[in-house]
Amino acid sequence: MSFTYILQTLLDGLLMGGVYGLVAIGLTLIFGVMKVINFAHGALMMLGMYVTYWAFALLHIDPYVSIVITIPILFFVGVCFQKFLINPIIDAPAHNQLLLTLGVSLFLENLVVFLWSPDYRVVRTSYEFVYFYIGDVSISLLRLLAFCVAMLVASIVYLVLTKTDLGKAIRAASEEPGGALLMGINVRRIYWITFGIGAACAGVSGTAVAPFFPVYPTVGGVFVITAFMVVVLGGMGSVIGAFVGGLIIGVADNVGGLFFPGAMKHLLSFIIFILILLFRPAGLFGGSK
Amino acid sequence: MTNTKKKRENQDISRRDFIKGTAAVGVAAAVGSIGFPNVLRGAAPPEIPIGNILPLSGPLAYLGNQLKNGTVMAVNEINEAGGIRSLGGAKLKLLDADTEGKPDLSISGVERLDRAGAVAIMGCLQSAVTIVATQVAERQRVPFVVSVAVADKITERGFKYTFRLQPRAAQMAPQTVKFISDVARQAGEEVKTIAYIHDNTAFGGSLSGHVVETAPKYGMEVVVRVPYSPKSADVTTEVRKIKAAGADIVMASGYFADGVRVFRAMKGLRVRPKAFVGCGNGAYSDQNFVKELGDMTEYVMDGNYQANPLSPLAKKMLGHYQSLYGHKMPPSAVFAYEPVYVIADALERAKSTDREALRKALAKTNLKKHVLPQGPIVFDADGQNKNAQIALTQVLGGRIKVVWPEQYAEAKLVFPMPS
Amino acid sequence: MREYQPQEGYLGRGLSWQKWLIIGLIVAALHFLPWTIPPQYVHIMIMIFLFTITGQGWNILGGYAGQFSFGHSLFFGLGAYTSTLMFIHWGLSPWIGMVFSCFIGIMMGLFVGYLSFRYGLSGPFFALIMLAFAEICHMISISWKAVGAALGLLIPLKGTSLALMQFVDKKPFYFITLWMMVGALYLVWRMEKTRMGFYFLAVREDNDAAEALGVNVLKYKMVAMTLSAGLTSIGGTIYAQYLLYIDPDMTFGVMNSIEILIRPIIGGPGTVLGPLLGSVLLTPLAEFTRLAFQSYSGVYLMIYGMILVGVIMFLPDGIIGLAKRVFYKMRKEVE
Repeated sequence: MSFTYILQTLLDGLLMGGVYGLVAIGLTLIFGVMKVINFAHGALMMLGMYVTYWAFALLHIDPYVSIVITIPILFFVGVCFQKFLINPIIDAPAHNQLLLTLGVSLFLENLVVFLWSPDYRVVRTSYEFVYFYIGDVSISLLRLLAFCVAMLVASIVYLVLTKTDLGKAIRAASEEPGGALLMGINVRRIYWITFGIGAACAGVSGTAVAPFFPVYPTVGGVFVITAFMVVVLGGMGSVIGAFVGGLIIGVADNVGGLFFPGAMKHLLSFIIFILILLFRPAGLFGGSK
Repeated sequence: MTNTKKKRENQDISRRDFIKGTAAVGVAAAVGSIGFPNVLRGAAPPEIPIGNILPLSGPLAYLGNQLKNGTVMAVNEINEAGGIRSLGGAKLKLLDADTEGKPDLSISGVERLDRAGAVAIMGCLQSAVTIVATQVAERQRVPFVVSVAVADKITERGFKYTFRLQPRAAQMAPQTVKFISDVARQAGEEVKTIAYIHDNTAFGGSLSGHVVETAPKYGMEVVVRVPYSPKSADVTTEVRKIKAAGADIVMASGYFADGVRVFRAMKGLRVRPKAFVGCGNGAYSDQNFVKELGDMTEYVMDGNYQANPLSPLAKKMLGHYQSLYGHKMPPSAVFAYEPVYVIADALERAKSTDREALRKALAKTNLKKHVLPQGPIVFDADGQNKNAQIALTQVLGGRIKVVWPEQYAEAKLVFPMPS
Repeated sequence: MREYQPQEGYLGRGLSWQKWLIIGLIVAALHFLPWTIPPQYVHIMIMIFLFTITGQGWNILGGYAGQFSFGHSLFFGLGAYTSTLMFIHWGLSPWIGMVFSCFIGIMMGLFVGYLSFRYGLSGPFFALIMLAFAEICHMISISWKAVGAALGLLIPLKGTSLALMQFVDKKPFYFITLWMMVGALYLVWRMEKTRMGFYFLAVREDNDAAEALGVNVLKYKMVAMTLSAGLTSIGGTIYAQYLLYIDPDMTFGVMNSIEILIRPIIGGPGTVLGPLLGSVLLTPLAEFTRLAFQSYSGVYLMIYGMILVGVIMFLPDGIIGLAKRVFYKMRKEVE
């Protein structure tokens, strides 16, 4: 096992991990603020991928440009989702919320199957075969771009949360909804804004991977489970935790691939997930829960 | 007070039970009366139904529909030429069943086609699905002519109702290895190591297993064998292992979409063997592979089932397909085309649409008029096409040409790949 | 707490003899059904019964004890693979194989259950950890040659007999699943009013309060898990023998976990008839839309999704909950 090989493995893991981190950021925001576990997050990502695909197929818009379309569309979907489906059951037991989001996920995925068939679609770009080489280690341009998008969006979300009034309101609503209400913060509004942001993050991550991942209705399933693992690892509600957790899981998956064949490469990630659930459910960056 | 309340509650519950029970039976009966669309059973046979089980949607939809194209073309050709003469010119009617690539859907597919009166069934592209479907067909006693599926097991179970046209893994893989060895010897090159990447289903598993076994007979060795899941979208981990092996030859087996993905990843990671050789690869013999990936596919070889490019009958078929569908007929469609003719030939000889009679006729097949690069089509006791042969193709100047064995070659091959 | 003692003229748990008669008539009628309906409907009935069995298994842990598991395919798959492997390699009758399936399922349940409950996992976290374990088994079954890897296992036709649980016709499976379902329903119905049953409810309603009142929460969760895992594993065995083919996705897949849990949830979690009702409603729906929308057989899942959302939002107690409320209201108006 040469040094190049290991380096390549780690690098691929980091690049993909950035994307996992972005998916997880949306999920962790939603959980941190509303304590809702959104099983439909993968479906939201899938919708982002399809928006990108159709923008590409019908309007010939470059996938990275179509991010400006994806964000508002997914934000809107997220807001509707929260207002009409989540809000009514905000006080229901957590497993009911999980089941509801599962139902939405089933619905969305299969609606897409119905509308656009289960066939795999591919987004093509003129620069998809561009690779950079450091010695014998290759970096795919597309994956690098995906990572950059993830970093950018994560930074923006972080800055919004820490530096803006909206961000402070969000954090207040998540830590102490009662107190926030007393301070004149419209907590209900914060909820649907946050959900919108979370959904938009999922959508953007979908756009980021569409150039090198096939687009099909159940693609979200792969990512949603990984996203959960990342969120638990990073600490529910922590944006930094989500991003760092994403990187860790991305690397773990690839390192796992070194030792385990085929489908088993995820074994390492799953084991990490189970251990965290059992022994440190607050995750790496999570506060006391 | 509580007692009477309870009594009434219990009565309410049982009334509910009763209503529920009758409702359930009622629903079943009501739906039953709607019934299922009935297919003409061919009493005075104006039509003979034959079934076609394929993945028409889902990840393998592309290949599945290609096969269907080949089958539909054959059915139309036969019908336009007068149908089955010995049965009064009865026409063939094709019934589809979509598996979506899932074996359990093939079970209901076979049962449905059986109920619809199909005298024979073809399918299924995937080895895993075919293994399951043929078992059901055997139980229901419906002749099954496998169009495309390579796993040996399909014709190793002592089944009476399963027939397969395409070369099975035990024919395809050793022939490919032999061809590689011949080609290398002719070019005066030494080939010692092989790195093999393949899908983890019965398709890739069976082929690679044989290659591992046969390679030593020709002085070669498979130094690394890497399975991947055709469903996983990211194969860079697996391809990295291939690159790390640095072998003389990289072999690959997979379906079209994953074959493309894997090849793309290999090129991206700068895998540089003396040759890329597919074994039964769903991508490497398909012109769309070249169309999708362009120049990087030059010199890629594939040891796979093919039509005989030099046969006049095959040329006619290829021309017909090109004019109908606008692109070159992929070999998978060839092997969805020929089984229809095999069934038609058996029907002519059986002079009956009785499944048992058809089965007997199929077993006695000795068809010399066909489009394949082999002798007559004869099935052995297990239903396998005895004389099945593969050919080696290569992408030359953006076109896929048969280059080996020389008796069927359309062009001269290039080995090793120029760097 | 003693079992509820019936009044005079009542048999078992306060049901009048008229009710038992009606139940008996329905069960008897079901015996004649297979000869009156075409085979594809017999298949649907078998699927209804089978999913009721596995749903009831889930129900014990999820509906009664309140521990929602998102990974019950774990037990289903283990059950299916265990008996199948024994049948293929040792020719062991699936009936005996079923006992081993049950055993392995229970072992796994105890293992996962202990880990989860001992470390205080509950609610969605428990759901997710069950999912994780199911996925691990999923991955192993895809990769491990000895259990067929991605190809799965084909059950060879070794003949037709009751001992082999292989038949030419569907009808024997109809009766096997019918009687197992009746057994499962009866089991849960009896369990409901035992002390154990009430402890399950206590744990479900308020874990901490139950603990404070001296209920050994860990023990009862484990007992619920045992019953649940065992029943679901048995379902897996029967499924394998019926279909004569199993693969990792059909058995261990996440979709299967969802199919198992959705029926009791929609029918009414924590009730005896919930899983049956959910199964009667959803199974034919699935089968028919599969046929009607051939190439888009996933469409029934869209309807599942809508129903699930609707039920959670408006009928958190499932259809039986709704029925109970309607009947109470009707009765109130009568009085």
